[in-house]
Amino acid sequence: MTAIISAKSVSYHYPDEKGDALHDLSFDVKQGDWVAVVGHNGSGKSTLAKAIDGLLDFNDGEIFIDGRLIQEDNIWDIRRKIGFVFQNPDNQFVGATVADDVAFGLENRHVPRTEMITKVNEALTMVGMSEFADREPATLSGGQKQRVALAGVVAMRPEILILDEATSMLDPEGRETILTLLKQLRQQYHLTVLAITHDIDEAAMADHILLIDDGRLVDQGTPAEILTQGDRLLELGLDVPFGEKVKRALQDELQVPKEYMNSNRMVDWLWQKLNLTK
Amino acid sequence: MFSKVLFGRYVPTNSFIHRLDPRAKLVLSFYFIVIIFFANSWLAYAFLGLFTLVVILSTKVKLGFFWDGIKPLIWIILFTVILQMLFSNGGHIYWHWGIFSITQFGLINGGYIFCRFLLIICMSTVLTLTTPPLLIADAVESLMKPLIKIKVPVYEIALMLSIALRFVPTLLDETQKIMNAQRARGVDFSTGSIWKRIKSVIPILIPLFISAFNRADELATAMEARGYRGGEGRSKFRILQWHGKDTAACLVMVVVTIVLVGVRLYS
Repeated sequence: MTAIISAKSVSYHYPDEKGDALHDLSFDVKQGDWVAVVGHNGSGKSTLAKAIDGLLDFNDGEIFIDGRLIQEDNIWDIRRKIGFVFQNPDNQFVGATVADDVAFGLENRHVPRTEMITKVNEALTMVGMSEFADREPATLSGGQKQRVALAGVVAMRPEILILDEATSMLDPEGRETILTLLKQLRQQYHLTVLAITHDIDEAAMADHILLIDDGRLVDQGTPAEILTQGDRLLELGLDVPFGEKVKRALQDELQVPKEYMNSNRMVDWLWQKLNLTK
Repeated sequence: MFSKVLFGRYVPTNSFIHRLDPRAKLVLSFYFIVIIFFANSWLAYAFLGLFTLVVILSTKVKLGFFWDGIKPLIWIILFTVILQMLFSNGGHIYWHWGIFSITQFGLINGGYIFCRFLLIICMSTVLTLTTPPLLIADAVESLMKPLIKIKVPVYEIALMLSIALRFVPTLLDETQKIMNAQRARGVDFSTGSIWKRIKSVIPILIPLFISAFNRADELATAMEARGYRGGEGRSKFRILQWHGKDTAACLVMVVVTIVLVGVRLYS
């Protein structure tokens, strides 16, 4: 497996602020992986996402996308490979109607109109919004707007999908639909997903986690490796996943295995334990 | 509070007028407003009034909406008509006091102006009620195309127009939210002297401006991430199509003009 995103000691400093927003970050993302970038608010996650899409002129270091160094002359080519869904569903809705918004990226690439119409319909069907094609953004819910944003990205068939806290402004239900949708899309298109989040349960769905604190990469590994470090996560201003919380609560009474357990495995283990003691 | 805004209040009834090309509607309603000023007799106004009435009825929109369009302007109409009546000279003098006088021509002029206002408002209301704002923006873009030759940034203007229209409801919602939030903190918008009321608008305006800046920043980033590099070299998803019925509508307007000129010459 090759690294599709590769950052080499990237640093960035916002002009008006003290301290680096990104400090000497290096990491690789394998093709087809779902990588979660986790950190508390203001830890530099969003800055990192923008740097990867070339939306930010970082001061030091290099980022390679699919083996190509991001430079001024190839930035538009590189952006073609990357789909970006932002946090606020209202502020990334460019089009006057749903179909227009999905078509916006295709228009920018000068896709012929007939092709555009099929692609827009396809993308809207995929996210389950085809009956809303003529609706205006003001009449949609937050979750529906985010689904449209996803459709707009999917219509362009990117290789990499960056989600910058794309579910953070949604209610639990909207978040659930978006995440299920993401899993489907990922399977269908073999996307590499870079999800930026401070929601630990969302991070638990990833293949690999990058833990970021104050612009520094403090740890990386599989969810099992990262999410079992309960106290450290709390120190970094993050939460502990639900399964781990149960584990911590039971620790004094029971001998709970050390390895990472998500909710399902926790339930399985508890059933086993109860059956044994009976 | 914002339900009274007539701008962009589109009433879909799928009538013949609704299905016309927005370019045709835009150009024809402007043209009609211009030829209203060529009418100079009661007969001509009666003819134009009849034509407008036919157009209004064929939109199948409830007449109440047209009355809503006229209502806010009624004081301006009355004010202008009365001024015209009091200060026009000529013909038989019915009443006279100082510089004011009511004369025969004054009354006629006042009547004409009343008719003009009425016709203009009705026709422009026909345009806004039967055309979604989005299509009006498309029509403006399409009609401005020739200006590209004299280096007018038509694509950019069209994009700004369409983004502005798209954010009108979003910003209205936000204004309402900010107002309620400030009310909850004790700001009173509805009582006090004019000066006090003006001052109480500041806690709405400043947050609204700041959030608009933030929105613009985020929107620009999102647009760039989706490959927007300026208006040049983009293909278009929505395309306006000129049909036979649009040509027919233009021909009807030509007939109206001919009749109007005829009435003007023979009366």
